[in-house]
Amino acid sequence: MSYPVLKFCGMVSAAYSYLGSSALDDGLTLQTSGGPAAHPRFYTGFLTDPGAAATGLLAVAEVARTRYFRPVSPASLDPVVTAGSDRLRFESFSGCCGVYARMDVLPAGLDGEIVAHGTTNVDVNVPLQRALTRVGRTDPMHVAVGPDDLTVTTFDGPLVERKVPLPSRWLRGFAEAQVLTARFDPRAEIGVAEARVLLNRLPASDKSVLWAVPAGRSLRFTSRPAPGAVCLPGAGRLAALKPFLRYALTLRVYGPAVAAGSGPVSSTWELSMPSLRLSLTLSPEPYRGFSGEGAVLESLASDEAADDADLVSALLSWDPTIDVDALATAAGIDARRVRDALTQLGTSGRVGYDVAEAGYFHRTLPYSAAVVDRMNPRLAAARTLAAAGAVTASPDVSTVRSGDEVYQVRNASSCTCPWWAKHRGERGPCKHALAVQMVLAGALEAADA
Amino acid sequence: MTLSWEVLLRRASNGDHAGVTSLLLKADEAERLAFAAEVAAGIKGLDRDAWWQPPSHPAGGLLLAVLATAPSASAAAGLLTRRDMRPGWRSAPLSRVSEIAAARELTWLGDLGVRLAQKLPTRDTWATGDWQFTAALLAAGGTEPPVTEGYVRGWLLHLLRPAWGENMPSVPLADRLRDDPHLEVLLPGIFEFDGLGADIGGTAWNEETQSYDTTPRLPGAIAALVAEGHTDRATVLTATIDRLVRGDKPHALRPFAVLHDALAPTAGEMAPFAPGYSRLLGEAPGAVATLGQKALRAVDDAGRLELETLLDASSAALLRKEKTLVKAQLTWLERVARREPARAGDVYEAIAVAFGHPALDIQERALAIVEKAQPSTIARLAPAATALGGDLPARAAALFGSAAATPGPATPAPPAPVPVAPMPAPITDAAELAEEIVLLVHGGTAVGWERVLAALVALTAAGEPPADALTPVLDRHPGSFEEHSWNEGSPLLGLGTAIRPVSPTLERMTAAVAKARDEGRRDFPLSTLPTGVLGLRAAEIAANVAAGSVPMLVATPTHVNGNLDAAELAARLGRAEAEGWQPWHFDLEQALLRVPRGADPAVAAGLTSPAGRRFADWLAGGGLPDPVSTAVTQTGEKNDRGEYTWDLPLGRRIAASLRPAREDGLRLTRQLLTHEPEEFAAWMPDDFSGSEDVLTMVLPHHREVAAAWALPEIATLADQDQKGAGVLLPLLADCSGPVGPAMAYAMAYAFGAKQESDRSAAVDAFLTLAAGTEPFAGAVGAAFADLCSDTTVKLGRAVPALTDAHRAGASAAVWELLTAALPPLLTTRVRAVPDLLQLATQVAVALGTTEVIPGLAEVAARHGSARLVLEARRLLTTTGGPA
Repeated sequence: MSYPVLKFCGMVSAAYSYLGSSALDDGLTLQTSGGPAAHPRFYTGFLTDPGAAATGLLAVAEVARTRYFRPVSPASLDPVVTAGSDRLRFESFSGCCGVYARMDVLPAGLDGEIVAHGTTNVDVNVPLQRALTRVGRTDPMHVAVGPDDLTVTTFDGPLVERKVPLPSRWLRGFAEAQVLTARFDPRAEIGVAEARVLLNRLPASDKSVLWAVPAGRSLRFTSRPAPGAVCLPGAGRLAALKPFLRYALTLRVYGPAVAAGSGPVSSTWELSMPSLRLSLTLSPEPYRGFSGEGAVLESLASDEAADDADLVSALLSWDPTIDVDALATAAGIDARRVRDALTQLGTSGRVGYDVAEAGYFHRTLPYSAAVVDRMNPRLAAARTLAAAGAVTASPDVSTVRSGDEVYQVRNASSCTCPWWAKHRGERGPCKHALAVQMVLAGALEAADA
Repeated sequence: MTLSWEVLLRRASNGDHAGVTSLLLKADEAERLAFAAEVAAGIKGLDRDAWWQPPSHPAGGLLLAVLATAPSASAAAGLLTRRDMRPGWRSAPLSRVSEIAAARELTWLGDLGVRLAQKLPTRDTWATGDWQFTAALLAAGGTEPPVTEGYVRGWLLHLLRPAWGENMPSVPLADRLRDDPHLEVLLPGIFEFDGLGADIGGTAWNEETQSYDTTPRLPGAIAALVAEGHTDRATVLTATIDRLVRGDKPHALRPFAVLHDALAPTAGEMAPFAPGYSRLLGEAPGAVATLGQKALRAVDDAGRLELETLLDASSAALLRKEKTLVKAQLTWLERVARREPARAGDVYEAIAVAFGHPALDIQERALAIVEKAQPSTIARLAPAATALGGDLPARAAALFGSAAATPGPATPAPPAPVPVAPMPAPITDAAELAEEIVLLVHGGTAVGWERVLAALVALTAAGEPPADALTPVLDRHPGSFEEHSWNEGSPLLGLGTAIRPVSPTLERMTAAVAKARDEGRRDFPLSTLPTGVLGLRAAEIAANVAAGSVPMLVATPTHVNGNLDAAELAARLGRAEAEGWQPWHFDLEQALLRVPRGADPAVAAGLTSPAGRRFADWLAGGGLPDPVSTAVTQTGEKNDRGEYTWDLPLGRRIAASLRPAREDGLRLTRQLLTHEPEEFAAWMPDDFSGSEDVLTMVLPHHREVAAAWALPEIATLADQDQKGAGVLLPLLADCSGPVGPAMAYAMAYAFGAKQESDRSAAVDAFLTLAAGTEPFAGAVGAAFADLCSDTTVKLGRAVPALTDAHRAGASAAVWELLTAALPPLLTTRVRAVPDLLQLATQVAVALGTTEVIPGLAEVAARHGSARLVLEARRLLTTTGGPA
């Protein structure tokens, strides 16, 4: 990859450069950096709904620059664009690690040619954002994603350089959001007028956790979850969707299965029209980034999934969604192992998940999340515990010595530590349970051998 | 003289900046450079915990040392941006900085300033010391400041809120801005960074009054510079509009809206920004949307607005909740339709979007406009008419023909009762018990408590003393499980003592339990609140469990709401008889209190032991008689001058008193059924915060009791804008028992809660109650009218929640509530009554009712076209009254 990722003192930093700034004059030229080439060109042609696309791109950029909750060291990075076989996907992740945004320009939205496949950063600077707000609904707009060959070869102007710290929680969160949404199902669909009334009703600064259930033509809020309900954590975080309402036809909401008594969960709110889809995925609570959700730790803890992931990643195509069965046949492993491998690829940023298509898609983040998936603090702590012999493992009740404390882990999943008591499995296993799983897996391998 | 780290640190720790400076400047440059490594190592090696000690934070002195020894800007920046060194930015005297810089003839101060500017805080809203230090470095180096968020923010705050000192500025802000050497570079940053508007809108220094106030001063100052031609008008106007269009939090946009108005742009200046104004009209916060509307109208009046832009904006604007804005938009569109007959069809189509507005008066206004359209146009609009509600579909049918008469989706079925979930399976081993106990320490649930107490008794009696597994848990949380001044009455203390008996706690607890049983009094360490029953039961277990003679608790519920099936209790008592033991006193009392109302006395027929007979008598006597619950008015406290003392003044609050109906033979009666509220309302009562489910589980079949105890907390949701206590209401709805004044007022307060989450809890409770058999809605309606009549509860907040209850199918109960609430409210001047009448119309249509609300006809017969009168007429017509 032609992409420098600098790593020092536990902090990853991305340094990259564009051949000038993206600009909207005769047409929209989005400058790119990294991915399959230093400054790849992915698309040239027209967009069939320019006003909607401009608004959607603004929403993606807004999420990228916003901190819905202020963490200690925020990141703020340009959106990335992925050119698949028939569509463009623009993605961003908020600096607070709690909101993931994506605009998919569907085949009906493109009137041009996708000239290369891959993923790259796009520059969406402030002057460009200002210009995009002035794009009318049907103003014809030519779009070039990436500079043309001539520009690349003859460019001698000043590069636009960026150096952005990438806290590892940001990288992990971006990747983890994909894996979480893979468990989502559609929960509700309402018309755009109802959606507008619903969003207008919510105060802009709302940070509370609400639940929504279908009622009549719209949704109704409820204070506690029930089967079929969808969580709306921090409704104020949906603000970026509003401008797109004037183009969209429907609002669809996706979420995981919940039952009475469930804690807050994440959810995806998607506005769609035939040519475009814009979705926001919210973390389970405003102060809670996706990075700590731990949905994937168990699959990361095993080595088999890592091997399968290498195998599967070599076979990925740029199709709109990944066909699990076809991959299973091609790789010669069963579908369950393919899905585990995709989970693993998701956490390292090498696939994304599309809730509308209910499938993974090939997308390689242009900053390597692979350097951090092994750095997951909980996983690293578990490895340390396992390696230090702190675990007395047993399939039912194990004990783990951690510092001065002794914790007891039942069935290699639940624990007597404060962290587990606080989250009760909603954010994945604790480090003690992971350590027990590692030791038990090691013992099993030893027994097999 | 040799430089020594020890001497340096001592002087720095004493705040002796002169001493530090002279120490370093007495050495020559070579010595200083040689000393740099030692300074760096010293700073990195300092113990963070021992760092912040009197007499003074050494960072200021060490900062001077860094400047005096560092070989380069990057080396200095590396040290100065360490967290430990940040206090030095504020405390280092700038005169010493320049003294050192002059002595060393430093050329990299500007470079250092640029590096530090990247690290300036973006949050702290008052401290500008960090910025001042950075700005001084940049000025010393003659370097142009970088336009970073932290730097622009510090610059802005320095202008608006100079740090208190002797030389507070008396020069007007506009003059200070004009004279600022970096105005041109930094001013655009104010428009670029999100959130800066909040700082502009906050408190600022007023040079005239020489005090701080909250009038936004920057917009006027910028407008003044523009007016005198010092700053380019087009640039500022463009930046202002772009800032508004890019959006931000409402309070952060306000100063830019003020600036926009201060600039007073002409139609010609605004015309190119029409798409931006259109976005404002559709999506910006209310005040900014109105700005957008005014701007677009001005552009339209000048004949420079494209119709497409207007129509695009209208589809969004017509669904906004600000009715004034929506009505203005409708009026405007109507005029445009007349002005441009060729495009009238498209304009009317835009107008028809308002059929989907939640308010009937908006829908009606739109319908009235559409009625004047050409027949061909009207046919186009028929599909949109399905969104009309209340009495309007009938009117629409006359206009559009029967095609449009099909109403929207049928009202959903009334909510069905949801069975209460059974208790989860009991805990079966010590390992699971240990885990569950940790959960209790970190905020457990009532269900968790019941499972833990039951398992502790059962496992101990089964000869599996769980102490081995539990001791590490107790050791880890001594603050919870051992006796302290802060955990009096805490059930955790009882639990800890039961697991590991410690004198003198055990003796004290045993004595207190005996006293409670024999005299009915509560001694330390027991609580007198109803939730204290849990602590009492834990203490009872602690006092008795070691004996091992009782193998199980009898009070453990069978359902998660606290219900204990009578047959199950009979079976437990039967087992006790068979095995020859008697349940503990409070365990049995709690068990009796959990048995459902009207349980068949026959289940206890065969029991002969004292406990068994007591159970049989209890059932035969009809269980616990409902206590007398009475609404009591509390007043807000006033100070000596007769002023209310809280941020949100409180005129009155409704609480509830409780007293037992008759003697019931229980020792828990006093603790549960006797409550007399204070004369004055408490500001933020929180007796039950976090233990709502423990409260409802004590008396699951007498929800009025729990409601009476917790009513003040629920009242604060509405009268003090608190949040969270709403969670109690669905729990109460899951319980059983008559709905008395406390329940009714609790529901009424929660419907008027500040937070959506609490209001939706009220809706959930309302739906559950509507699915049950107890009458309640009339009582809630009366309480609701009482609280809204003098705005103790804001009616406007409650209407959307009541609408939700209607949409979720509880229309009949909502109607019952409205028929009780409307007659008294119709005689008041409360502003939102017309909205409540609109809801009543929608409910009446859904139910097809012809019940006439008392007093409605009189209001409807009044002259004039006030909203109240119009909506009263609409409801009267809908329910079959004279038009």
